[in-house]
Amino acid sequence: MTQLRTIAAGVVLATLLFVGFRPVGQLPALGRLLDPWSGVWSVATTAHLPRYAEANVTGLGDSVLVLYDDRAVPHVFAASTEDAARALGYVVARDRLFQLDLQARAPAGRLTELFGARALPLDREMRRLGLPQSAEREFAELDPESEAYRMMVAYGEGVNAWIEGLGRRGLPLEYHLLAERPARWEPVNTLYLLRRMGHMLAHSSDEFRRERVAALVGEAAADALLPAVSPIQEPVQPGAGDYPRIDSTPLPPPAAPASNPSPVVRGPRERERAHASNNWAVAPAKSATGRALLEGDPHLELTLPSIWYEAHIVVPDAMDAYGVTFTGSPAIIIGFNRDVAWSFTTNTADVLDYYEEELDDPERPARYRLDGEWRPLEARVEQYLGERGEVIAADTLYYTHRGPIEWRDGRALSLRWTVLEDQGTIDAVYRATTARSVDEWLGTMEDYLAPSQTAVVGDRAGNIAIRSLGRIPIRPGDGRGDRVFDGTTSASDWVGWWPLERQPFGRNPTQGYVASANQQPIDPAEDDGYLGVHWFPPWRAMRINRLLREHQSVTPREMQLFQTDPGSARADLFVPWFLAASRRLTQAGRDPEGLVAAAALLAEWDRRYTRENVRAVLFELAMDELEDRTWDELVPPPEGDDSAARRAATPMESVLYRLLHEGNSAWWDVRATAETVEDRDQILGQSLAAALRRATDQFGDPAGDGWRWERIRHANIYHLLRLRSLSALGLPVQGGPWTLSPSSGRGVWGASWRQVVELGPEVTAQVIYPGGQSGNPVSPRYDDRIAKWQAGQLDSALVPATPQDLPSLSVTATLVLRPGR
Amino acid sequence: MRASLRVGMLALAFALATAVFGWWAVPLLGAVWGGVAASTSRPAVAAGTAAGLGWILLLALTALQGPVWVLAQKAGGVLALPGWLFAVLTVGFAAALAGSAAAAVSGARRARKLLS
Repeated sequence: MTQLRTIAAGVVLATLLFVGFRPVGQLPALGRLLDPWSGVWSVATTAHLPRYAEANVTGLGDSVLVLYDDRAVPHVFAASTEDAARALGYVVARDRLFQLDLQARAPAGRLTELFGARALPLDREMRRLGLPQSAEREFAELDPESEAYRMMVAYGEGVNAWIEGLGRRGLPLEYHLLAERPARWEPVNTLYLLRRMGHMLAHSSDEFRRERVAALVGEAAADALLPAVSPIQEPVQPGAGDYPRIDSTPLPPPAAPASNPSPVVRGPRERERAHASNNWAVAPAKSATGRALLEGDPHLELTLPSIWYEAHIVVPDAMDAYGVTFTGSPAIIIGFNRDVAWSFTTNTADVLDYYEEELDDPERPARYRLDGEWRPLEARVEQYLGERGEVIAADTLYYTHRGPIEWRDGRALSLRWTVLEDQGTIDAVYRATTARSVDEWLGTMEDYLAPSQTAVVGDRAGNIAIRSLGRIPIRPGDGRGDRVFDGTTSASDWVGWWPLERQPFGRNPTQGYVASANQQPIDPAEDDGYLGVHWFPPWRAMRINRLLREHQSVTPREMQLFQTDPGSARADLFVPWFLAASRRLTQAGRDPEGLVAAAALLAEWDRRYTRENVRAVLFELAMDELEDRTWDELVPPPEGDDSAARRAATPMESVLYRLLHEGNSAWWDVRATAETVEDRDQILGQSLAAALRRATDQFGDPAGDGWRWERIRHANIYHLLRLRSLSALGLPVQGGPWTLSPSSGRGVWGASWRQVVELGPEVTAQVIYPGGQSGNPVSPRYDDRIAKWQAGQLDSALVPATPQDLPSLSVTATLVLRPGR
Repeated sequence: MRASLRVGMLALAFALATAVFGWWAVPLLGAVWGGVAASTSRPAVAAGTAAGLGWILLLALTALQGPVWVLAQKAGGVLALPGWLFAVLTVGFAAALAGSAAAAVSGARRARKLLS
């Protein structure tokens, strides 16, 4: 018996030692994890910043004082801009170390070093696109005396000072779960990060979308469904036209589908296109306070911690800038100083092209043909390392003079993309933070190259302006870039850049405001040069323009309310069509079952996406049904076991709206009902009736609470590793698809930062982002801003010019950084 | 009383050893205890109890510096465990490690004695 007990104890011990030392499946090694002193429990000890702390930082020229206010925003008081960058690196690492590390590894294609082979597809995508290679090239070519270089190096010194002072007890929670340690920060990481932003904001595949559509319905229809000219004009650049202007000319009918459509029609599923943004500024003449007001709310992926980190940097006689930085950037990206405020939206210009190349050997290529001659390909071997530094995969990537080659549908396509070329972002953005006027700000941003953005800027003198920034290529021929070009001739290459003075611009326009929301930026009636295709529908732009036109005396409070305005230009346009079609069908006795009831319910809707709204869901389902019925021609015929209906592409809703004006277009006919030819009214009626059936099935009786918008659509803010217990999920918010604060799809995109700045004698600002300053999930600062963000509220930003200006009651922590040895 | 004192002293030793050397000191110390106290009654229970108490002491010290309950909920959630179970798992892990190590060593010593 004793022997048995001893053997059993030995087995238990061996098992415990095994799971203590070794990870099992997704479980980390339990020994180090559960250690109550230096394991994951120790994360609790870093939940709060100490009231006072000191540290040495190598490279500092002088001591730096950092005061954290009661919103955990660090106010950095430094003697030089480089010292400020070091301090910023230090405080960001202190709050967001894991995020810094992860966001540098992701675009560098080095996630496998943390997660092993399961991260290989992501790493391969980044490297295949050439993102790390281009960042490394730009960094190698930087002048070490340049502002950008010095700032990136200084920032890295700050980050590394924090990392070097870390024991196991200070490690962020994620490192305990992964049994890893943070990598040393390299200055080039900042450029990796900017490439990642470029990938998020300026990567498109319009060429392939158009190829898929053209293969199904013909070239003319493809051009009309994915147009270079938005059917609804509400341009960014203030113009003389009467906007919004709607194009109601007929769409070309679909051509008969090819009997054997090319494989391109089954291209990869399109990603949710939800990154977007708003910004606008109001001139003093239109402002209730008589001062310029500026708003900015970039819509990016919502994560915990947030993509943004809020900070204030003061360097006497050099800089006094407040706003948000990307973790990893040494500069304030969106924000304000004592004189100027600014914000960005993505302008969605087409800055990427593919070229079909002819290679000497598709299996082992060494050369590509150009203008009748063979040119050598540049080959680069990419190795992917595992968690223990072992090589787990290796790829050879090839480059032409245009960029990296990728293989698609059996074709070798090289990519030219402005994001892969020198960006100049840090220099430009850094200098812009020191501008004293709108004109100075615009001047400094002339060096900004990519990704292409639309900036709104205002100053204390009452000037406001809007301008597209960044390089936009000029193509040969008809100038369009939504086709795959012939790579065998240099005549396909870009021939120049849009001159800055031709790019969308407005300064102190007579309308008294400037605004952008990712819509087509210039009315083609003013300039018909090709800028892009498949524009975001102008619903948000129409709504904000309407609000700003209607309000003659805008207050900062109204600017704040506009940010989460529940009104919908889209609903304002589509709902009357549904109701009118229902009326006509009913009068003619052609109404499908349930249409009368559905129309009555839709007519009750106030067209607002408030949380308690009980009719918005019916409209959303009706729109969904309408798209399915209308664009059935874009679903490729089933092949083999793949019978799931999946559209090759979905035209923007502005195209659908244009089609509504043509009651008997061939597009309304549903191909599956060969014996009937449907018209617009029938499709609208069927869609609305089907929406009611779906809504009732999914959400219960229309009179019940199941239809409340807050029970249907949510914001979901996932932790960076998608760990649910560290995420904030199922958050009811005001707003719907394409409202000013959009809530759509999986709810993982949204207003990532909101600011309203009043440019008076003393600048005042109201700001918020969904999350908190700390990356530590145990910290009360991890998600303390979410409730206010959900409610559309803003916090007042404290903007002290000197340490003494910050009320002592508002100081929650002090950090003194001293020159290190 | 003497037994309680012994367990208390042992718990302090487990806490100190963990803080200084890390979690693997727990089975080591458990094994040592199993060797030196093989002739006492229930050395494994004493070691397991002391190790659990030692880790509870460390958790209590950590709790003085931060919200360990929130940590238990969040970290437990990652492993799909409620917070309280994550805490029990932690303490139980130490107790099982020390107890099994002590049981294995003391049992082996007793067996050797019997054989000789």
